[in-house]
This record gives sequence, structure tokens and C-alpha cells, in this order.
Amino acid sequence: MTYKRIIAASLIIFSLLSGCKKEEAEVIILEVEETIPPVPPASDDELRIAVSAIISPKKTFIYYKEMLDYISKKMGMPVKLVQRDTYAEVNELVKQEKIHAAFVCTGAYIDGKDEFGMKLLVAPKAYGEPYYYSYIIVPADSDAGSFEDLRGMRFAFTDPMSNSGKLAPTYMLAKMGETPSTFFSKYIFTYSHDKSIEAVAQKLVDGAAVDSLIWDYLNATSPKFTSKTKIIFKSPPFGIPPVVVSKGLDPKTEADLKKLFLDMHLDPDCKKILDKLHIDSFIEIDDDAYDSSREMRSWVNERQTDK
Amino acid sequence: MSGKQINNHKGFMLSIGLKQKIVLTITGVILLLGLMIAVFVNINQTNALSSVLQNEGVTITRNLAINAVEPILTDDLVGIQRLINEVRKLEENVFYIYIIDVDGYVLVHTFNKGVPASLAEINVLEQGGNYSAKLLNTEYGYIRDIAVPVDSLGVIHVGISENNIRRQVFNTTWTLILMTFVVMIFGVLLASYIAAWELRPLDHLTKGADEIARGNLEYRIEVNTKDEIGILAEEFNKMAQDLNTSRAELIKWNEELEKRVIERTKELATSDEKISAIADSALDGIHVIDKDGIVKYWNKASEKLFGYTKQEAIGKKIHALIAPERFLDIWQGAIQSKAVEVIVVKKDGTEFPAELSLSKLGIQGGWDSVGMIRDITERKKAEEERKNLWQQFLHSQKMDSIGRLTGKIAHDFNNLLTSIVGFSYLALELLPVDSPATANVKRVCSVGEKATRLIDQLLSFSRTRVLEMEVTNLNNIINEIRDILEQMTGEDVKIELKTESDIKNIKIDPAQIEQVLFNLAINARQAMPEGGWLTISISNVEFGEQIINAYPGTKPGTYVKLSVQDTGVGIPEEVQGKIFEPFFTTKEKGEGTGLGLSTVFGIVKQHNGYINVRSELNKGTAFNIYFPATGEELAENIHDKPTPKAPGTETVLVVEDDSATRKLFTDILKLNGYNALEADCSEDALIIFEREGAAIDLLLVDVVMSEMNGWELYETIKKKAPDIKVIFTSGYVDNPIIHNVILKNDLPFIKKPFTPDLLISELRDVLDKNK
Repeated sequence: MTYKRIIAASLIIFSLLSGCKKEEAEVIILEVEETIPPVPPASDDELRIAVSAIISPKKTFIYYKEMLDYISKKMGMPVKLVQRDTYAEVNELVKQEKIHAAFVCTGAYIDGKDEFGMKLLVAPKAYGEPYYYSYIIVPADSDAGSFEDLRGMRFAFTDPMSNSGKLAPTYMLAKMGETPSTFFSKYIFTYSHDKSIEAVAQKLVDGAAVDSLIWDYLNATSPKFTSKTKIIFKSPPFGIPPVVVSKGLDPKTEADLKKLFLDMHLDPDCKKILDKLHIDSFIEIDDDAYDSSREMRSWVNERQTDK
Repeated sequence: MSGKQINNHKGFMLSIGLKQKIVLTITGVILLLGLMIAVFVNINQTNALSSVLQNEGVTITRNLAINAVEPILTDDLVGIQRLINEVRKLEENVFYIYIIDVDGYVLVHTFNKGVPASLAEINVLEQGGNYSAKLLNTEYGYIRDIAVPVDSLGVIHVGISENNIRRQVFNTTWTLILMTFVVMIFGVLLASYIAAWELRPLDHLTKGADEIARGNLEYRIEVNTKDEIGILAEEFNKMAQDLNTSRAELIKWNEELEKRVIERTKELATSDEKISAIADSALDGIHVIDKDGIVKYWNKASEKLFGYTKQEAIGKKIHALIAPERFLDIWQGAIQSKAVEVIVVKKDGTEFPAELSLSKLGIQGGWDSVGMIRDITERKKAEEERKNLWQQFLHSQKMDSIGRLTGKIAHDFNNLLTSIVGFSYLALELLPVDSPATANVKRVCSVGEKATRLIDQLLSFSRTRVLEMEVTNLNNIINEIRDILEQMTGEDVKIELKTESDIKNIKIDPAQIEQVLFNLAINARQAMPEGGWLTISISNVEFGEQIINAYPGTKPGTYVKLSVQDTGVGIPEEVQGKIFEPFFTTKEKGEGTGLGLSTVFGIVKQHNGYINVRSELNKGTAFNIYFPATGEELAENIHDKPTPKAPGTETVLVVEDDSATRKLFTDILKLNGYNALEADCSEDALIIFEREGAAIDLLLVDVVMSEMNGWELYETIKKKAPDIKVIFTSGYVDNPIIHNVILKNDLPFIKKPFTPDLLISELRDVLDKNK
């Protein structure tokens, strides 16, 4: 009897000790013939629209997703957002007609127009006008009060093809008889305007040239970084970055697409999307609107070629 | 485990020695402890290491997810592939990495052939979840699949192999188990050694116990230690000492007891002889039977009672000897109750009633019964006689009651008839002879008289009729009415008269005795519809002690027996007790009144005689009547009929509470010239007497009245007028005043109902007496 009790007591202690249970595992076999399929190739029925990395791909995706979904709905076909790290890569896709339409930067447009006849579709109108500017920004607590004050300091350009982030400051330097190499102690390419703003805010650089649309937009929606910067110079207006189409796009789709963009602000649903992007509406735009940029480029090119 | 196995197990624990138990216990405890630690460490270490590994895996996966966003957005899959390949190579626990897009397609992976379909849906990330981890048991060991979202672009899965940590835990566990076994072996050896050393004194104890068990109470255990075992050994030695002493005492006691048993046995033997002698001296049969009914003892009285000697009876079954099988139940009943009456059989086969009482006698290993049997033959006879007497007494009581009842009814009728008959006669006298009503009134008179006779018969039965007694001889009466009897019985019935010359006189009402004879003759004739003999015999008989005892209520003395015997159909035994009851009849309705024999009975009783009946079916019936004889001489000329007397002029005071009767009296008196005064009660009568005084010649007074009765009234008036004449009248002849005072003193009395002639005649007689 006593022995039975001892055994019973032991078993109780034992079960208490092992109260911490072992985790249960699901039994599966990995060596199976069937596999999860990879991403299928792009379909012909798909409308591929590229967005240049004016802002970083992640932010672009966040901002443009809704608009592209709207276009997909209105056009009655799937729309794929295509992004590339640089403007040149997007221009290359347009040139090779691997995409049907693209939001490109002013600089990329004038280059593409010259190079392979990039075709304008529409342009956005923001803050009441179809223009934008190049802002020279510095950290909020910077002593620099003008562009000249940045001599010998670190500077951030966006994309080599960018109008506001590269061409405009280079033009100003050229006017001053300087080049980036001579004027700045160091300069970098961030390949997008938001990254340039971040770089200034975090004082990785002492100044940067950014797209006024981006700075204003971020300053209004998420001023985390813009609040740590200040504008020390605002350029004359430039033609706003447009929406372009590839030359090979069939005229009907092009016409449909154009009408869709021009009517967007009339649709209350889409108006909300435009409001979020701080776009008033899309308008037809002439190639002339970009002449100022072209002149600036040719002046710089001449100078720099001279050098 | 079945019950049998448990028992075996228990048996095993009981069968092994203390040494083995200690060793087993220590072994068990070490083994259990070791195993518990091993299991505890195994489970807990596995869980802890898994948790660490999982955290590490989540970190790696999150880093990958962050770095994968931009390459995915810019379609730089090569860049991601390179990244995950690198991580896979660097992190030895990372078994696989793959990314699937929002549509469930694989973007990149580290598998050789492709992402196995078995992984799909196995670790699904919840909407908005940070990460999800799931343990998988694969052919490559345990792998923890960690899923982390890549923004909203897809999910990255990293498989972290737990093989390394599990191997580590496995090794630790087995080291512990090995150590446990080493400690256990050491423990067993140590326990064996200690047990052997510590339990050595127990061996001495065991040997000591064996010796004592074998009966060697002189053996003592060697005590070396002072621990519990040492104390036990000392106690054991003490116990052996005590046992030794006790055994010696027991032996002594045993011898003493044996001696006493022999003495008691001797005493008992003497006592048995005494009891036997006592039982033999008893008058009742005493026997002892065992539970099977076998006789074990048989006393002398039993020998006398049943005829079996002691030698014949003992060893036989009691039922075979004296108790027939049919009384078996009664014998068995006797054991429960105190005493029962049984019928027992003698050796010669005769049966007799006996009283049996049986009592149980508890003996060793069962019981015997002692039976006592008493012969109750005499007692039964006496009881039988007593019973008969009691029944006769009851019968006479019943007849008395019936008599009283019929008497009461008859007297009430008499009062009614007095008026009917009286007024009818008065009416007849007043009616002109040629009146057409005369015939009808005559009929009323005739029917009234018939009714009077019927009432008379009832009164005879009830013995309340007023008898006109005279000393006579039965022979004379028989001779006088013999002719009438012959007429009544008819030609087919022959009458035989048997008498003696010296028949004693009796004091009777001859008319009543004639009635008895007539009734019996009619009865006999009806019993012999085809003729036969009617024998009337008269004899003197003497009632001695024996008869007095046999017939309660009879008195000793000389009687004259009148026997009327027929050779008719006889009276069935069951109705013999009822024949004297009024209105009992065996005849058809309308053939008889049912009063014949009851009248006979009443008359006989009224004459202080006795009657009985002896009857046998189809042989005949005999009625025997006994009248008490008298020593008086015969009276002479007592049969004078009253002759009608002349009317008178005297004054008569009629005191009668019944108004109809009172009117009848006054009408008759006035019709016959008398002066009638009337009073409806004694009080009024006294007032009238005070007023009229000497003018009143005679009191005609009803005996039975409320308040002051007729006799008291007469007594009161007589004190003032000693010469006053009186005639009493009543329908209640069984009134004690009438019997004990009026009739006894021969005072004038007129029974109701009466005829006017009778009243006038009696009135004249009284008035003229002693003039």
C-alpha cells in the first residue's frame, strides 16, 4: 500500500514538472514534385505605366497605386506600375516601347524628346499653375542664406537627368562660372527628391536642389524631414513634369487615356485621389512649356563642353 | 492492469524481505529523480532554445523584408535573389528563404527545384500581423517557418532549422540519464550494504520467533543494539517469558476444569434420576420428543394412558404411537400455544380427548419438546351437559320474551274488542227485531267473539289469561271430551287411551286443558293424513334429582304425565325447537293460525307444568306434558253457568280511563235501570264519592289506571265506607295486582271484553251477596 502511494506521489510530481509542454509541430514533406508557381510573364492586355523615381519607389508606390487602380478600372484592363531606380532606365523603357505610358521628370522628357521623340500626353496642374520650381534647401539651422554660401560644402543632386534637381543648380553654377566639382567639396546623386530632402534634414549633406512639388507636398503631408530644412533659393518656373506615351501606342488607347486624364478631376472619386497628390487636374500641354529647360540645358552643355 | 496483476504485484511486495524493500525503494527513488530531471531538462531546454532561435529568425526575416521592398518595386529580382542566397549561406540555421507576392506567386527562393507546394498555406500571416512562426516536422528535421510581410507587396518566409539545438538537447538528456544510472548503481550497492548491516539483528529476531513458534518458550534472543530493533528484541524476550508463564497456568486450569466436569457430570446423573422419578409420579402423561418427533422419554402415566410400555415407546415416532396423522397440524400448533385439545389414540385403537401442552427444551445443538397429556374425557362430558342446559335455558328465556310481547298486544286488542263487542250487543238490544241492521250487528257480535277467542289463545300462550282453576282429575276430563276428540280426529285415526286408576288430582283450568287436548289432537290428525293411532296416556311420575338437573327450572315432586302420541310424519329435528313459537307453522298459508302449539305451551307453563316433544321422522311424535299433582280433593258443582239476573236500581260509580269503555259501562247500566255515575280517573272518583257519599252502592273500577290504580282507590274509599261493594275490571290480566291481590282474595273481577249479560249478571251477584 505504502509503495503504491509513493509511486502515485512521484507520478504527480513528475507530471507537474513536465507541465511545460512541448510545442506541437506540423508534419510536412518538403521533397514534393509540386511547387508554388513563379510570377507569370507580363500579359499583352496589360497597360504598363511607369513612374520615374521623382520620389523613392516605395513612396511612389504608396502615392500612385490608387490612381493607377482608377485608370485600370476606367480603361477596363489591368494596369501595372513599373518603377526603375533612375530616370534614364524609365526613358529606355519608353524608347523600347516596353511600357505604354510614363510619369517622367521635365529633364527626362526634354532628353527623351530629343533622343527618340518622346510624346507628351498631358501634364498636371498643381497649386493653380502648370509650372514647378527648383528649391535650394539647406538644414533649417544652416548659416547659409544663398546658393553662393554653399561653396565648399557637400551637396546632393537627385538624378543626373533631373531638371530641378540637377540641371537647374548646374545652370546656376555655370552662370557663376563654376561646376559642381569646383564649387562643392563633395556632391552625390540620391536618385529621388525625397531622399535628397532626407539627406539635408539629417545633415548628410549641407544642401540640395529639389523639386518644389515634392518639397511642398511632403511639407504639407509629412513634414518630418522638410521641417528640418529651409529654402534659400527658388528658381524661375519650369514646365511641369508631364505624362508621356510611347510612340508605338495605338491611337485609340492614347486618345482614351488622354481623355481619362483630362476628365479625372470631374469624377468625385478620382478628385479625392488628385487632392491627395496635390494635383488640381490634368491639362493638355504644349512642348513649348519646356523650352526654358531646354535653353538652360543647352547653355550648361555648351559651358561644360567648353570646360 | 487487471485485478489479478494488481494482486500479484501486492503479493510480490509482501513476499520480499525488508532488505530487498529498502534497496528497491532507494533504487526507485534515484531512478525516478533522474528521469524526472532528464524529462524536465529535455522539455524546458528545447522550449528555451527554440524561443531564442525563433527570435533570431524573426530578426533575420525582418531585415530581409525591409531590404526587399525597393528591389521588388523596381523589378530588381536578381538583387533580391543575390541577397537571400547570401543570407542562406551565412546563417547556418537558415534552411530556406522564399518570397511570394500578393497574388501568391513566388518571386524568389533558395530551393533547388522550387518552393514545395506543401509549404503553401502552412504558415499564413494574419492580416496586419507583424510575423508568424510555425514549427514544422519535415524529413529534414524540425524547421520553424517564420513569415514576415514585405510591405503590402508580399510575404517573406524563412525556414530556421532546429536540428542543431535539438541535437544539443538530446546529448544533454542522455548525459543526465547516464549519470542517473551511475548514481543508481552506487546507491544500490550502498543501500545493500547498509541494509545488511542494519537488519542483522532482525535475523536474530526471526530465529527467535521460529523457536517460539515451534514451542520452545525457553529460547531468548541475543540483544546487541539499543535501537528500535534492540527494544523489539527485549520486548520479544519479555513476551516469550509471559507466554511461558501463561502456558503453565493454562495447563493447571485445564486440569482443574476437567476435574470439575467429572464432578458436575456425576451430579447431573443423580439429578436426571430425580427428575425421572418426579415425572413418573405425575398423573398426566409426560413424554419427551426430539425435533424429529422421536420419543426420548415416556413416564408411567403415559404407559397407563396409552398402553405402551416405556420400552415400546422410546425410539418410536410419537405420531406412529398416539397422534394420528390427521392431527399433525394441531400437534405442531401446540408448540406455539400453551395448551390445545387433541384426540389421541391408545394402543388398542380407541380414541379419547386429551389436553396437550408442549414446551421446547433447549439442549445442546438443537431442541427437544416436553409434552404433557391429560385425559379430559370426563371434563368434556360435563362440558357437553352444561352446554345442553344452557341452550335449554336460552330457549325458555326466548319463549318468555315472546310470551310477554304477545300478551301486551293481546291486551291492547282486548280493550278495543271490549267496545266493539259491548256496543254491538247494546245495539242489538236497542234495535227493533225486524230492523234490517240486526243481522249485520249480529255478525259484528259473532266476529267480535271470534276475535276474543283468538286473543284468548294468544293470552293462553302468554300465560296471562285469567285461569279459572279447580281441582280435577285428568281421567275425568279425558272421559268428558273423548267423544269430541274422536269427532275431531275423524274415522281414520284410532284413539287409544292408556290410563291408571290412581291418577293424582291436579289443580287446573279444565277449559284450558281441554283446549290443550283439542289442539294436540288437531295437530296429530294433520300429522297423519292417511290415518294412524293417537295414543293418549296418563301416568303419575316422580321428579327426582336427576330430572331436576337435566331440565333446569323444574321442581322436584309428583307430577301427572299426559302423553299424546301419534304415528304420523314426525317433526324434522331442525324445527323441533321452534314449534312452540307463536305463528310458527309448517302448513300452507290460511290452513292454520300457527297458534295451536304455542297455546299449548302457554297453557302448560301457566299451570306450572312442563312440556317436551319426542319425534322421529315418519314414525311419529309424542308430546309429554307434566302437571304438578295436588293433594286436594275434587271440587263439586263449579260449572254453574251464570243465569241472567233482573235489572236493578242501585247507584254504581264507574271509574274507567278509556272513554269508550266507560260509555259502554254506563250505557249498559242505564239500560238495565241502574243509576250510573262516571269518573275518568281515581282522583275524580274520590271527589264524586265525597259529594255523593252513601248513595253509591258499588264501585265498578278499572284496575290499571295511571297515578292511583283501581285497588288503591277501593282501599281509600273502603276506609270511609267499609260496606261498599266493588267489581274490578281489566284487560291486563297479567297485572300483579290482579293476580296477587284481586284473584287471590277472590274479589269480583270482570275480564274485558265482556258481554252486557255477563256484566249485569255479575253486578247482580255482587250486589245481592251478603245482603
